Amino acid sequence: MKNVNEINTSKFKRVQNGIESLFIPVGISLMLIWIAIFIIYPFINMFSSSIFVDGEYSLKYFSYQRSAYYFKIFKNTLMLGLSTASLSTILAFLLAFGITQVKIKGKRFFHFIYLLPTITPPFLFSLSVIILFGRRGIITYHLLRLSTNIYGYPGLVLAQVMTFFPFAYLLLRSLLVNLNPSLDEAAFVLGANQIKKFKTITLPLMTHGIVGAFVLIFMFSIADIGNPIILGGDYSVWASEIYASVVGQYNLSLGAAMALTLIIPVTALFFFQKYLENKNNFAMITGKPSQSKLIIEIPKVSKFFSIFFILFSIFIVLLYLMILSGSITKLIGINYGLTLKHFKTIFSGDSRGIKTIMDTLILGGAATILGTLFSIILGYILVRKENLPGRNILDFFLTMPLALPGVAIGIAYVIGFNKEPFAWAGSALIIIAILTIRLIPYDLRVIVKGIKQIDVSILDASYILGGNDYKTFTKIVAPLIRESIIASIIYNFTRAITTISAVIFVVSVNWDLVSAAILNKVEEGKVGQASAYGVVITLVAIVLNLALINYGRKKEIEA
Amino acid sequence: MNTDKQKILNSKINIESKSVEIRNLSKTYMKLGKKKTLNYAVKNFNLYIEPGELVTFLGPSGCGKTTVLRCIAGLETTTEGEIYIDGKKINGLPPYKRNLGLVFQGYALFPHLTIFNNLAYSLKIRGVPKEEIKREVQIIIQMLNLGGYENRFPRQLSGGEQQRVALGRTLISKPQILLLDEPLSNLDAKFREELKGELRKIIKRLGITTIHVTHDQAEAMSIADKIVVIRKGVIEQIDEPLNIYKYPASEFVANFVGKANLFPAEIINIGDGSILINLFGKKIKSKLSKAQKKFSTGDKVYIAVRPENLNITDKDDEYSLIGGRVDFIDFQGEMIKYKIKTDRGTTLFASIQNKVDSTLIDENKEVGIKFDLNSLYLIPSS
Repeated sequence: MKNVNEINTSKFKRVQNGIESLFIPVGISLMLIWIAIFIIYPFINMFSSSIFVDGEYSLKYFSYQRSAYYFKIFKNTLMLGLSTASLSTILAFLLAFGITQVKIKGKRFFHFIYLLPTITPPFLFSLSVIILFGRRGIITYHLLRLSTNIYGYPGLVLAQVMTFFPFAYLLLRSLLVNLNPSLDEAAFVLGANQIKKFKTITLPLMTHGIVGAFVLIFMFSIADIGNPIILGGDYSVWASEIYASVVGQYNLSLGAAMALTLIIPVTALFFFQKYLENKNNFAMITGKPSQSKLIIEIPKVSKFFSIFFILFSIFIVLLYLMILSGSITKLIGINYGLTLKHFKTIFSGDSRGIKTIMDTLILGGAATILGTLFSIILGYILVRKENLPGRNILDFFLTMPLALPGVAIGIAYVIGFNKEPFAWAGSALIIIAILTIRLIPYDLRVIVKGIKQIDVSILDASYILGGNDYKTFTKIVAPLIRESIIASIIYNFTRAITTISAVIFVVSVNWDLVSAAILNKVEEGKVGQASAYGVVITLVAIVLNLALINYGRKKEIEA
Repeated sequence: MNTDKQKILNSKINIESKSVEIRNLSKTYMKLGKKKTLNYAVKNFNLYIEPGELVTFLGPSGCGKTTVLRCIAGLETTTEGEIYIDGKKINGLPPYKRNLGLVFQGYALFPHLTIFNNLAYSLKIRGVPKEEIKREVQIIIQMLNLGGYENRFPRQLSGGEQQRVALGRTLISKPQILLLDEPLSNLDAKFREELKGELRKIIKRLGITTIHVTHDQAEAMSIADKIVVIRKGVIEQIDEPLNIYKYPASEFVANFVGKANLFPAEIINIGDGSILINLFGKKIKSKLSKAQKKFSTGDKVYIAVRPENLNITDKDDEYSLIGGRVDFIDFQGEMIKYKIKTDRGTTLFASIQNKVDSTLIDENKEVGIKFDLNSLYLIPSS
């Protein structure tokens, strides 16, 4: 009887095996090329642009930042960041605590509502805030007969808190859900009532999480560009000032210098937040968990949280309804006659609306697929090829964009790809690239986690039975992590089609994105069309994510 | 630890023994699925525990033993029934008002507190003055050999050390009753053996009424004064470990606590102190053992024979009751365990002590099986 090695010696099989054996080397080579062109090259250009002005070495744009004007912007940014972070963290903690620890009805519904802002464009609520609380706002002007100026600090804080609180909520909720319930029970049996248990056990164990949530939101706030552009008014913050220097003054060097200044605190905070995330693990469930969680059933507490949840959910839904209202009224704030003209305008043959939406779906889709492919290959390498030289460099460079503010990446791309040899500015390639580099870090995390959950002896068995890396990956790993990949694809596609900070500088006449289009329409004063775009993209995101939830539920039932 | 020091420690840890009574306890859960059904986790559970007794709830996973424990602790509410400690009803009292001690399976040590603060937790909660806390913690530390660990955190301790801290944290508040939820299951086999004896010694020295839950029958047999065998939420038998082993009340107990060979038989006649049984077509007369249940003529029963009471003999032995073949030999050093496939297709287990002059019976050898017929132990057939 022939042995296995003798059986597979046909020429075709040899060629096939040869090609498959190139799976890892080719994958690595492509990624290295990618990193060199789309990560290292633009940043080197951005750096040199900030210190070489008119052909000369100069630090003038860094010196500018020491002036009183920029100090005020710095103070504004800090103030906004601290306010948003504080309010978001307190709000998120109340929501997370109520959802996980208190007996109330409709938790699933409330949870869904609180997560909605994560799948819609991050600056959409600025529009809602203007519609509700602006000079001709529904609440301020029509209900309360006040003429307020919502632009600036108060409006920005409100819009940012409503945009970013879900991220803090998810973080804190996850912590509370995963806290070992035996610790609560031990505290009760040892004589602590609910309040004492909360003060001596729950809160101390949440400290790192609360600080982590605060840092995360602070990071989001100071890197946010969409909300400050729409609602900032005279209240300039660092990100909006970068935008003004590039789009208003076309001073790329100044923009680059300011972006580099912003990178330092954002990146430092990113690593600090990661450090805190790792510190949270020691109180999590290990081994056999206790049989049940102790839920607070005190009627007054339940009532308080129920009312709070209902009112807050109504407010979130109201914000979305304002977008819808803006899209179907003639001129919101002034003329409330119903109309579909805004939708007709963006979908008409003459307008760019359909093209913009199609561009968004195509570019977002391409970025998602590319990002997933890279993440799969790199994820496999990181988990299975621990001794491969250079794998840590790959990991660092592909994860690094997550630590950088989107606006800095945008400027780096504008500067880097506006000249030879890579004069690709305004092309689909650049937009796909900039979306991809922001998606890979998230994808990678999900895929690495998925692969790590596979029992290593299963993969070893494949190797021993003759499977090379390619076969092991395609026949064993990929099917086993299929669900992680699908969930990751849908989530990342949602992010790709709603993001603004990184892409705001790279869209063009040839390729446009809905998020940038919304911003443009707002700047042009066309709130109706901006709202119509907002409705379309929100619906797409909600449908996609409902499909994902449904898919997840079906898989649970099948299991 | 020397005897004088031990006496001083004992006199300082003064815990009053209390009785526990459980009356008609039931706990139900609604099972969600295509059709909602009501499931009993525990049904009509009745038990009285003497002050100072160490009782073990023994049963397979999911039998309801931990549910009863959690009901006593107040971490679960009862659907029906009452629980009394020292004659006082505790239903409806929240856990922090029951003054009970519970050692969790995973220990549940507070990871953010030092060992000292873990031990001191219940005293701090009650507002005990600092000096007194320090004194009490020191007593516990000495009693449980935790000296030097005061400023460490739980993650810096081994499993056995964590278990002692968990016990100490519970005892420091002088609880009325001590509840132990599978206290040894997280430890490796070597530690488990060492700590079994230690645990019982500490508990008996303190004289505290203890309810101990485990699925490990060897652990139950070595620790308990009395074992309560539970199956599907219902008590199967309550007795001392030796009696549970020698006189199991049912097929389930016979097989769960140790191994048992069950020979189906039928009662032909019951006389004064003797019984006539039909076993494999043969009529056998035997004495009724003192732990025998009440049977009637015609009852279908099992003759329960422990492996160490089963004798392997020649196939041609006239006293052989059934023939078979040695299927597998499990040599365990001091014991040799044989698995025998009988001519009737059933499986029997025999254990023989390995003595100096012992020889192994060959695998696949045809053998005969016999046991002492003078004093049979019968179990009702299900």
